[in-house]
Amino acid sequence: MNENQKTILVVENDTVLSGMLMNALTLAGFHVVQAWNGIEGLDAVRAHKPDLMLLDIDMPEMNGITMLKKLHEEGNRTHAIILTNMNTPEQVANATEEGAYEYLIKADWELDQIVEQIKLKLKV
Amino acid sequence: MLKIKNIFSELKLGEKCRELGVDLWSCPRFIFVIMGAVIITAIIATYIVGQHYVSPDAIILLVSLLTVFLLVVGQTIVSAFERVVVGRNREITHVKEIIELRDQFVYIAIHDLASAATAMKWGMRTLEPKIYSHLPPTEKELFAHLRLRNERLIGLSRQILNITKLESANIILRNETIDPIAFISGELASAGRNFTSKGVSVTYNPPSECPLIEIDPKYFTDLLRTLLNEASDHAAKPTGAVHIFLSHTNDTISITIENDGPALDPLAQQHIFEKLWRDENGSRIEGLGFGYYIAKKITDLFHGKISFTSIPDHTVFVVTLPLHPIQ
Repeated sequence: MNENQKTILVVENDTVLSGMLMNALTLAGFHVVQAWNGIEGLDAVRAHKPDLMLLDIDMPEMNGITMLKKLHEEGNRTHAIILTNMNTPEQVANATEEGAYEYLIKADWELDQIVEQIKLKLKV
Repeated sequence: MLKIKNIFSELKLGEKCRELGVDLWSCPRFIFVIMGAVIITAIIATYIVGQHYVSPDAIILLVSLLTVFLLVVGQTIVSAFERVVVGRNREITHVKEIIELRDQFVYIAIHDLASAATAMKWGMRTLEPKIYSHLPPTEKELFAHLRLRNERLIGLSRQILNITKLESANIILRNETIDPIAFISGELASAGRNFTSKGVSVTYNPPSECPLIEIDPKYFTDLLRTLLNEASDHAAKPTGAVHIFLSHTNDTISITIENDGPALDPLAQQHIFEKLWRDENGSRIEGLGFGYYIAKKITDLFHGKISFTSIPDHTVFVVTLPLHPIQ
């Protein structure tokens, strides 16, 4: 990893989707860290200090919204993009309240479009 | 006698009690009539008895007995009311629980369905540049069909989710002030690939200026996507066109979405905003008839209006939305 390389944390419990995200982001020049649930995600944020997080909501042990809430309680304001297929009104509201940068429905986006969104946010 | 019979038929006692789903002796309307009859009889009886037995003790006894009797009848009526109300409340709570369970089931099922479809979508997109050029024409066609079917699956899951959200009673609109010109441009950019895969060209003609609108961007997105998707599905085949126009007044904006497909069946036009409606060309046009229903529900949510005209090669939907939310 070089000094200018941006780090993206992917918190996603679906191994297939997480693998494809990692692949696409690595090819786009990002350093990618993976976590499989909110608890691992919290540890990864503390250890790697990512520039941006891609967070799923529906995960075992700790969901993405709770993870975001815990980070905010610690004063951590890392940019977060919620990337989920769980699109209930309550969850959109909770994510917005916790200051999620953006709320994207996975199925609506192609991988390259998600990479473009991230590049846009990080001004890469 | 005939008059009394008429009064009873006017009261529609049996019908009303059946509506409430209670037996006759638990039906407030019936018990009220009985109570009225009892009171009249009791008063007349007291009068007659009072005329024959002038003793004040006898009158006091009679009035006391009458009062106790009326109290018992009153208590019966109150109990009947309570039984009806408690029964209804239980029923409402039960229905609410069932609806909540159904919604939860739909959310979970759609989440899992959409996750699998997303894996297919992203996987095919990743593999396409590596293997597509090496495939024989028939397999290229198969690949294209797989992509299209998968997109339809995603579209269907989105529609089911939208209907579940729109039909649940707890919709909270989170309005933001947005520029409609830029917002529609953004949506068209997102939908670009979808149009291309269907062989549909798109033009967008916004005015040079348009007032900002206070609206919930999530539901506004759903409305635009639904109408754009329907327009591209119903455009001429194999190559069609969709034209989008934006206009405004002092209080409203109007979004016009036009396609060049065949006219909608005149009979079916009457049912176009109904759930599960499907025109006679349903076998040719994919979809389950949810689209226009969703568009209408969202437009109603915004206190807007949706209308359409359809003639051969020209079907136009116009959505008019207030610039400021109506409480």
